[in-house]
Amino acid sequence: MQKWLLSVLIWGGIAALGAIGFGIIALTRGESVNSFWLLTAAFCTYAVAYRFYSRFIARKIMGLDDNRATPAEVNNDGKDFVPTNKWILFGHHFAAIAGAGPLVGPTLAAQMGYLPGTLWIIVGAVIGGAVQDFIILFGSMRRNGKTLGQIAKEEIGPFGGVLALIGIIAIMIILIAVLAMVVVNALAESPWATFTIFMTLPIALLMGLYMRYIRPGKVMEGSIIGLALLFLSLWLGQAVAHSPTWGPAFTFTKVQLAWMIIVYGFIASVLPVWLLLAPRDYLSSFLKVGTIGVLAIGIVVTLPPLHMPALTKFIDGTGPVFAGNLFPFLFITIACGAVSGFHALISSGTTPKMITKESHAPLIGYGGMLMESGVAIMAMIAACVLSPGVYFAINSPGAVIGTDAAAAAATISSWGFTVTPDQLTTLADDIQEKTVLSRTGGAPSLAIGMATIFSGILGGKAFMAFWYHFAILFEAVFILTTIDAGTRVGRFMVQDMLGNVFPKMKETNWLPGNLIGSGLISIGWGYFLLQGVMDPLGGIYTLWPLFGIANQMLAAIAFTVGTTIIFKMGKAAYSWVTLVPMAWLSAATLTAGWQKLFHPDAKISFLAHAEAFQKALDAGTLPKGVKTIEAAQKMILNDQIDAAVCAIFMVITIGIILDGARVWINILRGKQYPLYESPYVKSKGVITDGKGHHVA
Amino acid sequence: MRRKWRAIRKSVRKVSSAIKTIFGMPDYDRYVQHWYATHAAPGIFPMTEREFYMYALRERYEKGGVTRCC
Repeated sequence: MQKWLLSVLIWGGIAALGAIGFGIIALTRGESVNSFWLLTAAFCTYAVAYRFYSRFIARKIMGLDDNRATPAEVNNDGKDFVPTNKWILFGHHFAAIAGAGPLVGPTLAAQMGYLPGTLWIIVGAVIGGAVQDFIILFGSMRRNGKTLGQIAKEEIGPFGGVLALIGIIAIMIILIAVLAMVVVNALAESPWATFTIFMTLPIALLMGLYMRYIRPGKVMEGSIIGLALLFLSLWLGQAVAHSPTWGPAFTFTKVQLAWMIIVYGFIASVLPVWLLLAPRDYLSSFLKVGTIGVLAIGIVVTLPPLHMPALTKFIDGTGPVFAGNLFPFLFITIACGAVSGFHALISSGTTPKMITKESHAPLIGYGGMLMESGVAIMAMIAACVLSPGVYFAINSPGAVIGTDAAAAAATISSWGFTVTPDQLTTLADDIQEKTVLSRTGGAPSLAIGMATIFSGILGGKAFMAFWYHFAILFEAVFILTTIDAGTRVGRFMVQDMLGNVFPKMKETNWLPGNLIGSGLISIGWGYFLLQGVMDPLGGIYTLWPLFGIANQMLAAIAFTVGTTIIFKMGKAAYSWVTLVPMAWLSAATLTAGWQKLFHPDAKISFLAHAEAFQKALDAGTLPKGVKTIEAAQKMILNDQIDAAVCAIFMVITIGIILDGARVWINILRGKQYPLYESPYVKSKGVITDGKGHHVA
Repeated sequence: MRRKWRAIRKSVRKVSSAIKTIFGMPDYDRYVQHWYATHAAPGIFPMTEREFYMYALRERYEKGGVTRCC
């Protein structure tokens, strides 16, 4: 058979299979769908998009050229700029972009049923997220590994550059706060999980000392020792939780945990990296990839049926997990996994300095994001294998469903998702937690989903508690690493900004500067964290949409940068590739932002919420779920601050798009702008990795 | 036997180098080989393993770059 015919048949078959998958997940009603069909729809779409769309972009817009030397070849220094095998670099890039985001977002979005979230994860990634990551990776690769902020400044202008910088600091603060909130909700009142997480500190210190003094630079040995100790403490955690003296000693309230995390973030940002931050980073990288791998194996082996319906009645915006209609709020709730602006920072970080050949960029940029999207699909599956009643019991705030099993079961059953108080208490006993009610934030829900999947393969019910705490440990460890690393990065950004006024602040090893920078950034995210912890709606309900708006704002910045590059390359005819996802995202983000400010419903809008509280206070009563007048006043202030932050995000989004549009329109009118690519250097052809192995 | 042993050690080293690259850990072997291939000259020496470790940590965490995502 001729080769082209075979190719047409194979790709036609994959496309048809994907279409069948979509048909089944979209049209099945009233009976449970097997997760196999979600995976089929997703992976067939990824394959077709990768084969055709990424190649289309690479050829028609980028003109990838293997004769052109990459930064890794030109600057090869054996340290930062290193030509790397493309599959290893794919792993490097994926390990950097994957985090808690694609696990949490889909879990929350499952309140509307599996269908809307799944469709957005697949379609959003293929035409949005993967395109963004790919084009920013390309832009940075052609600019010697410059960062998103630098590219924005050069290609759009100083105004756009400053907006991008403010946006990046703001998103860091909100991101850290919301992730810390997830950890607090997972650890509160849970001595087993808390003990295990506490143990990661002495383990990390020990690893740090080992790798610095005992066996200098032996990072693999250090990590293996660390991982072994971590599993030991997971096992010990059970005994600690059941001990009458140690159990209560490791039981903390949300407020206590929040303060501990804030102090931890500050200390980790001040201490030398070799002591705490680097060893924790190694531990958490292994755990992160380990969890994702284990989740993938579990789902593929068991192919569990989904108990969540395709659509729930909460698509009308009345859901308990997050407020607001399907449009726009679904599209900001699931950011990571579909389109995540944060990836633009990673794609313009270490990865572009390690690419061996330009033709490797589609696999790493576009393919890396497809893989993350696959992780989000698995998180969606893990949320939907729970029976809907249990899902809502875990993910709804206490102010909505009440604080005891009987009340919660009654409320949730009244929504049409039958669940008995007995089921809820049995589940809590199975995983050896005090309660499963209102454990918002996605981590406990995902952990119970994973425990359900795994206990089906190994160990049965007896092992359920171990699986649960194993999943919580994984998530909490890698989230905490994002918190400490993020605080440090934020500190450098603050020091750099203040350094424009007081030059001494720019010296990162100057202790007062270090303390001021770390303090400011910790206070920044700590404020939002404490606000979330005090919130009777559980924090995630309020903070996650703010994070989603911030993340999609960053994506709008990245798409503006990408579009500007496309225009400057003279490829305006293909600019729809970035303009379409940008238009959709900015529409969703700005609508969501607008509703967060001015919607009449107090559940959705910060300002309406503040007004409702003020009215209650003026009438001499206390709002529901609030205990004192001071608390109510504080929450009004919080609402106003959230509203201000939301407004800032909107202004930045609009500002950068207008600044970009100015350049595009001028180009269409015939004005010439320089494209700030690095000069063309001819590749020497065959590249080796320094040991004589060919990596190209 | 010895040849087999050497082959095993070589592939272990290869896997460990790949893991280090994926997770952004310092890879001293790679640095030393690069150094001898390109910079070596009489009277100068590459960094020791500890110096390289501390250098690599500074490069990764003290430059303010974002190395991980949400």
